[in-house]
Amino acid sequence: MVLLRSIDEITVEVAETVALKSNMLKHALEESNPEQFIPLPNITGEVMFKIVDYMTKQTEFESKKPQEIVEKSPELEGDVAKAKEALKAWEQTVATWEVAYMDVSMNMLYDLFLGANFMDLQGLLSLCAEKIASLIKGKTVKEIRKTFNIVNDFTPEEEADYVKKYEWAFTD
Amino acid sequence: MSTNGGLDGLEGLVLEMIVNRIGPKSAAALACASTRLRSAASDDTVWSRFCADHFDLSEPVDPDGNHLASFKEAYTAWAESFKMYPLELVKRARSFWTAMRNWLAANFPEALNTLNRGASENQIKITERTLGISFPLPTRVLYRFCNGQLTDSETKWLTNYGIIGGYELYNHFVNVHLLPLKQVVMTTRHVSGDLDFMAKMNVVTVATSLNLRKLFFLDCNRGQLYVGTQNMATDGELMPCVPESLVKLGDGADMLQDGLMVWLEEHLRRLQSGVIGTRVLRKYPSISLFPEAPPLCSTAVTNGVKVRASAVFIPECSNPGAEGPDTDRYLFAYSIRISLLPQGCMLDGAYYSSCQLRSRHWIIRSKENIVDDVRGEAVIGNYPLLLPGMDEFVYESCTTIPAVPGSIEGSFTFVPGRLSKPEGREFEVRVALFMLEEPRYIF
Repeated sequence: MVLLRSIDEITVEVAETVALKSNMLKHALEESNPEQFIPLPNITGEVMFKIVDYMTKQTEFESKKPQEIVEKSPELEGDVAKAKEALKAWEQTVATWEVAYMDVSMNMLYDLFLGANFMDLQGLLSLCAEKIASLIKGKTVKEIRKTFNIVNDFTPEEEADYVKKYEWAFTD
Repeated sequence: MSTNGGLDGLEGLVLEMIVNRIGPKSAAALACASTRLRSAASDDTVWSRFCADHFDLSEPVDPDGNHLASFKEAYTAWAESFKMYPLELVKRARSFWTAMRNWLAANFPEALNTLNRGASENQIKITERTLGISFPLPTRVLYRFCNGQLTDSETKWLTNYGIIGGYELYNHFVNVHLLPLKQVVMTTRHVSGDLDFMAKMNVVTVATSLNLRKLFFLDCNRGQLYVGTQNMATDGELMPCVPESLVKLGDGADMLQDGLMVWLEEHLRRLQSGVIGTRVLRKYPSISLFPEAPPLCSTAVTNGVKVRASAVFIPECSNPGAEGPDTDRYLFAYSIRISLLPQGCMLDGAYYSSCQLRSRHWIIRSKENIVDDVRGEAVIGNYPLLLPGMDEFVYESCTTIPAVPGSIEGSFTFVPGRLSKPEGREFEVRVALFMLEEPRYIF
């Protein structure tokens, strides 16, 4: 078992196989004493639990992943098709879970993104980037500012100049 | 630790991950949101990726090839210049011309030099107005990247440099060029005087043999590309050059493509895979439409004599619409290449350093029925003498069949030594069966 401690001194225990999902933890475990806890100086308890939740579920999913049959002989054709379907169903299950998992507040989304970056969790990092990207894509400048509570520090002239220079981006 | 700054507070690589996923339009919008976001959304690594993905660019250049200071500027230049076209189409057209230019550079540089640079939007508009038509979108974008070939038909060498290429059959010489817009106008006007169907169909000539023996018409309404048959002048008979199902100009189409685009892309594929290639004809290199590779080109070696054979459909001498079950509708030219392997001719355990052709035998089929079984002396009046390691003896002839597909197979009778002084008995050299294919693509 591995002990993790958040910045607000909340601890959580995770199985080693789960912890290894994070590259940062993998390196930390190679170096440190297994008795000690691993500090996560950038992450609060709430975010830590959410991330651990992701790693635990990912490990569980991995262990249940159906085998792919790559045989080309005609006798096994039925099995190949069945394996393909099982894999597809599994992928659907994972995807559904991920959508529900990513239904979080804006603040949590940022913290999760930064946390995944800190812990070098590629899967979660992609999910967060994709989610944030989906909130930006297709929106106008005003809408983007509203969604993310961004303060406009351009003068109206500066903004107008930019829009004119990159006209192609602002016309449909 | 919660970041109060939100999106604004995200740094470097992390923000880059997001910008990469939102695409150039949203990246520009994001760059307008705040000064902090502007620098992240303007990072040139991100824009170099957009340039590569959308315009196939590996360097920050504008559409004229001039170097610019950043990829963001390059993207802007391209986006502005091509804003009237769907991005996918722009990338596809550019991709095609880059690949075609590369192939020509490596295999046929003389033809590469005849390719004109892209036409401007204005030039295209003037052409359309002059002819009273509107080009389909894919054709327009193709012309934006290359305005056809130099077509000074005065100069002998230029006539061989058509990028579509052709063949020579007895006195029938064909080499097809892609016309520049100016020539599209001139040729369209010139031939429409004799061809009534042109006005009714809204077609323009886009590719021709410079002697006008073979004409390709683009139907500007429906987007299909057609070639004139032997009955073009009398009956307005045309044949489609690409499968109809591949012409997609309708609203529901996910990817627009017209006959010209599909035709050019298929032609390039054949060049790249070596199905067709260049050969020297009348002292100058040119693209030959006779297949050089299997399965369309057959090869057989008998007693050291190698024979390669393939055929090409000749639409301008065919009458697909003619009536009657036995009428010869489809004319095919075929090219036979005969050579002697380096080890010479081997017959009955002995080696001979030469052999000569005496006669030929052809079995021609149309849809599995034998329609011709001919024997004759020589080949096009020649009795080729083969020596080991000599260049292939190549000749062309033709045949017509009532229905497609068909095939030809046969044999040549050879004597070892020479006809005037035979050194052994006659022997038969096989010509392996080669197909007379149903024309799905016509070049």
